[in-house]
Amino acid sequence: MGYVAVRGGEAAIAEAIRSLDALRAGATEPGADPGDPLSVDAIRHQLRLLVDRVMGEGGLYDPQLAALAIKQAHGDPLEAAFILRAHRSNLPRLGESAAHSGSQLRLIRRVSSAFKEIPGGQRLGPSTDYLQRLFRLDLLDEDPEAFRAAARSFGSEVVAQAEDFPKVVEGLRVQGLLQEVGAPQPAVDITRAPVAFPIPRPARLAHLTRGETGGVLTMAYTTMRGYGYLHPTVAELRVGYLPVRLPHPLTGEPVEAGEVLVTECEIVATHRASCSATAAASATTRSRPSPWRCATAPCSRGMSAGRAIRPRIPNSSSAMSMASRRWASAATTSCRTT
Amino acid sequence: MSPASSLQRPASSCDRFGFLDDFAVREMRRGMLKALAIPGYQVPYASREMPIARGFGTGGMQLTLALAVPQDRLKVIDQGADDSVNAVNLRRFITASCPGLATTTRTAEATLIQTRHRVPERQLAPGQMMIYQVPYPDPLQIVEPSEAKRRRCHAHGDYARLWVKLYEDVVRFREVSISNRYPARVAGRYIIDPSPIPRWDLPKLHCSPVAHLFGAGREKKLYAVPPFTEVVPLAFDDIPFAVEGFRATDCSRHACATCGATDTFLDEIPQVGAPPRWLCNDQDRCAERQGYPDGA
Repeated sequence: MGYVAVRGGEAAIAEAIRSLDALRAGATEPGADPGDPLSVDAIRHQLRLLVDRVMGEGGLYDPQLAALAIKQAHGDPLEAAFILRAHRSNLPRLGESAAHSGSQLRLIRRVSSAFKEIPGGQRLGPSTDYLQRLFRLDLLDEDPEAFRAAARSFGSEVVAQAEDFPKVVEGLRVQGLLQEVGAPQPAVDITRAPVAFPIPRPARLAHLTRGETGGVLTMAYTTMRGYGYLHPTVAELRVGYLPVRLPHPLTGEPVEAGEVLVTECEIVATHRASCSATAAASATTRSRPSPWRCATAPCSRGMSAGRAIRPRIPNSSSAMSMASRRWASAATTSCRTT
Repeated sequence: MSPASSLQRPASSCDRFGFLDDFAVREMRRGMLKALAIPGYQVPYASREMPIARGFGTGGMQLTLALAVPQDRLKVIDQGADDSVNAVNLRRFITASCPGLATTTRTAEATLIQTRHRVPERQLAPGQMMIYQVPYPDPLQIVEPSEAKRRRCHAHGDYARLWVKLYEDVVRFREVSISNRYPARVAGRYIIDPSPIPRWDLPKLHCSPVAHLFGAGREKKLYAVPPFTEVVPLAFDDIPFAVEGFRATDCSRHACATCGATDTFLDEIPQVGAPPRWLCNDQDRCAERQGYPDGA
């Protein structure tokens, strides 16, 4: 189907582009001063969660281009992800990383709702979980000096190296309460490989990772709050920087190519006996060897670190090392109930 | 008045005591009266959107805000702890929006106790009120997906499928496998979901001298157990209801590693390379037993 009813061809399209651009520039009334254009850097840092979302749904870890897409799309995440996906479509695949473990994370956040105390302790981190959603009217006319001072006051967000903390689910596994998980399956690039049913787990996770955030949340919520007794509990939620290692093109030895910020969420839930008595669900980098046996709520998503790694573009020299904060608050909001 | 100038109020202040407007307060109070008048009946209410995310205790919070008066003394606990982040956050919001309202961590001194997951170990006394944060208000939800049908079941007192679920548990596991949210019949009529309190706490609701109010913010339901009301856990004559035993492998009862209590609900704290420790879940009870060593 198409807009056969809209006629005028070239002229109509050109006019649509022109009026969109006028609106993007803040056109309100003739002669009014629209102010300054948004800088891509400002979008990247001050709208960081939107950038993360667009990178996640776009399937490409590139904060700079994601910020540009957001600017171009007037802030519509769906349209911005669309632009990023179209760009990603022709990027060469330079390598394929091995499965990464969440135990390599440099943590900025680590919480568990399954246990009151966990070995290594809980670290709330930069989370909106406990924000009171009241207007901060001082931001209506923010003092630029205070704004800069707030940025300067920050030391390091990394609180600890993950090696210091044992995995919470390990304790459960030792007690025999969790089903053992099989070996990691090879990654599937769903944009290169044809869909073949039954879809392997990595492909399923890749679809979820790129899925529209609200859509995935709806799936999680309907799974959780539908019929029956399924109440997943966050055994452990980790947010941190994951060093990405790629095989060296000549030697084949794994070399650290940069790092991405990922969220790893391990969820425990009792499940149908036919499936397994207890299942641990985890969704993180899609190359991660994590247990995701029965489909419980896919609560958290991570960046696709595996195969979408691309050459750095000009002006984004830190594309690989910059942070991406994923969705942690939404994940806990949807899980944290009992 | 332009939109911007209408926003020029100081951000921290609330316009009214208890945040909620008069219509919301009236609805909540009417709802609670109805809930008390029909013990165990789930009263639908509008449930306002609060500045704290749903699932974090907004149902309980709305009850507290609609009930609190400046003379009250409020205690907020989450899993028995007064200092858990969620409890701290709820208390912070409630005290900021209820100027004059005092708070306490001591069960004995509180007039309003908002709780998630626990009933205090200390015997409650008249003049106190319990407010529960409820994720799932309907005990039939585990057996019937349609709310319309569930309401009909409640109206007819038709709890057959719940009994079958219990029976199936007994057949498969030789016991009822429900660890929390154990269904109980109130005043011989409605069956309630008592919120995710452990089995341990359920007998405390039976003929309790205080009112127990339940608020499910997300599911938009209120219900109540009035004072001195029968609350009977669902059980078969030959397989009686039992609370947690906290038994070690040699059948001895675990004691709290801090206060030594053997009559409280315990938390298992996993340790690295060592057997788990057991501690009182109710922090105030543990501290009280030790004579409040920190002066808390």
